[in-house]
Amino acid sequence: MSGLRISGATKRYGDKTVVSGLSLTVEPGMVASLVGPNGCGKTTTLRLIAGLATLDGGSISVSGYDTVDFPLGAKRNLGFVPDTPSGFEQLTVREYLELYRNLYRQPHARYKERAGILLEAFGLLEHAEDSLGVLSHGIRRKIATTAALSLDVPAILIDEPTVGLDPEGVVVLRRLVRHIGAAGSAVLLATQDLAFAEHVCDHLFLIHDGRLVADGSPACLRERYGASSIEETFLEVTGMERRIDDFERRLDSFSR
Amino acid sequence: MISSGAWTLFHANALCLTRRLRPVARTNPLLLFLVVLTPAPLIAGLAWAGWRGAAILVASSDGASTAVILAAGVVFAIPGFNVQHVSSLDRSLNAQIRAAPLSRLELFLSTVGIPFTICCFVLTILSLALFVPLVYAAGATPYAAVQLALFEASIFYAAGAAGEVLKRVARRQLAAVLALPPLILAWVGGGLVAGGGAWPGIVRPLGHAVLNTGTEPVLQLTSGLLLLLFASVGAWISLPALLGIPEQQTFSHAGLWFRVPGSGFGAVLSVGLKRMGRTASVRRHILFVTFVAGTLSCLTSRLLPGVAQVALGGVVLLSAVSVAIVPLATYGANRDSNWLWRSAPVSFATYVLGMVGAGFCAGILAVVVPAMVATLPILWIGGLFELGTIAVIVVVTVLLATGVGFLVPCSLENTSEQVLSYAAFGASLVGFFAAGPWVAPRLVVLGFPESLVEVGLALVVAGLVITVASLSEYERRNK
Repeated sequence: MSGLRISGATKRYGDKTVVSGLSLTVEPGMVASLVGPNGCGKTTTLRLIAGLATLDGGSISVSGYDTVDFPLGAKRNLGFVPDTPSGFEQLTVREYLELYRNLYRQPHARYKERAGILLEAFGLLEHAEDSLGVLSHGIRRKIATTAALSLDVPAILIDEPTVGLDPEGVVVLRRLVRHIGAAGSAVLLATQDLAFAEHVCDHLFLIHDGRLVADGSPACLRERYGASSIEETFLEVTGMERRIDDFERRLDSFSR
Repeated sequence: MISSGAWTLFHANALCLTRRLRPVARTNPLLLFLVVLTPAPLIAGLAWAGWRGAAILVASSDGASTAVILAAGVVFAIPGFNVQHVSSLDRSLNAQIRAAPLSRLELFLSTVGIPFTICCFVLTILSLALFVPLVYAAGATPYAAVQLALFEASIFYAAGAAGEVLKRVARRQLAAVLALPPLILAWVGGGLVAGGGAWPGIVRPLGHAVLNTGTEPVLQLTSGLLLLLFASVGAWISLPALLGIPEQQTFSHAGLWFRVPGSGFGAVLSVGLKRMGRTASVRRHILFVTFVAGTLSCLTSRLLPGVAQVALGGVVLLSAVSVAIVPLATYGANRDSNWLWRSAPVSFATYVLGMVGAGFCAGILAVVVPAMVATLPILWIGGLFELGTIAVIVVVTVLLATGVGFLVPCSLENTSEQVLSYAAFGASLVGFFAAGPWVAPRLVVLGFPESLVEVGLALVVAGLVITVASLSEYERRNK
């Protein structure tokens, strides 16, 4: 059993259920994305897979390793890009990448080659000896992405991949993610950037209130809901269309 | 043997800390000078104090031997508890590193375990500087100093385990209390093996060994101490290894009643206080320290009336020091809210003066009131210290903490930073309380009333804090 498998995952914070009985599978070679409004449980789902939060119910496996029973096996097969890069402000970019590689015990030469290619593609070579603390949020996102995507692992998680990235960075990331997927890795994104998801992903999981409400390929979803774009599909599935119409009617309040 | 993952991560953290301090040292040559020069006179001073105190303690009654060991235990228990209780595995690393394939034990050792052990090691060296002359003067065997070091390390780790248990119980991980029975059994067992009975356990035979007031079998005492040490380290390390990183389960409503004032400084301070109120570890910490200080004060006065004065002074100071980590670790009300301080329409002068004023008020509210309440029964019984003196000691302690907080701003959850800030704070306290008794009598001789001298010394410290805060803030804003 390989890829990412989530079966009936549930997560509660106090009385609030953030993820409720979520089940999905990302096969090797598939690029998929969790799509949904703010607070619907996308990031929590990624945190559950990455072992940063504990499950209250259900199970998750990464490349056949259960994240509860074999957390180290699961983590060893998983690269993770969080939505907010932070910490280690005093390390240089190279030192951070070296630290990350060491923790995964990846071969030095191969990781260094991949990281060098990505740093160049993201236009970060000139920042290689800069401390992380002096870099902008977008550049730190690129470094976190470089760190995780330079790993030779069968599964990748990226939270909000396009947030903070410049257009050039988005293009690089889009091609990179597609390539990694085509090379056999299971890639799961969590994004609100529907255009990016539509272009990159083979499969979308629409989440609302911690539940899976629809899934399928972008084309399949558009066809199923008779929509011309994924944005329309999203608004219809989540029931937000009416709220947007109402908002448009009240826009006069903002006139000067 | 420490696994490479734990060592790699600790090394990266230590590198970050060193680089963070480099500009502080560069822009404050006086501070650098003091840091370089402090260890030697500190060790020499401790050795001198041990030598001077040896004659009195050796000549004193049998009760002193128990009191000395108990005092040494308390001195190790409080920092051990503080460091472990306040540290946080889940907030001292970023999400990407936490998702890396590191075992619970590796995460624990790299972020908490190694700095914790270094702290224990440094404290033990300082303690030995004090006690080795005493052991020598008492004519005890050299083994006594080693046995004392084993005891202190045991207490440090046992207190760390207790701090971890309290933290986890507060987060509803009730299984953590299972770590306590082995600790209690080890204490009782160690005492029985060493021939000291269940209570006060190993303390009495160890006191006899250190002050050479009894004939204690070295082997039994060492065996009892090793049992206690292994149990303490075992309990301390097994909690994070078996139970993992505790998650924050509840949202605190503390501080909800605070209204945000209209003024810039008031708004910023109010938000800072809300955040502090909602930091569960800080709240629990203050409550626990107040409880321990009160209980120890009462126990000391009942059980050891002969050394009550010394114990009371120590407990008051320790409780003040413990609570002082709040201003020590809350630079700009809270380090996380620095962005708020920076963007709020608050002038530089208002900021600095307001922070010192807030430090004063928070110190009086958070420290003086609970410490006084806790020690009042003893004050009624003995009348040993005047309330004014205690208030001055506590206010000076809190002010020094505020000053050190500006110089070495640390985050509570990062154990290395926490330990470093304690060290800087400890050095400044030692400096002040060494200089104070030398300066005060000379001013009194000149005709100044004693109370005025005390207030004057507190104001001098306040002035120093304002200067340090001004310089630090000026430097930060012009970076």
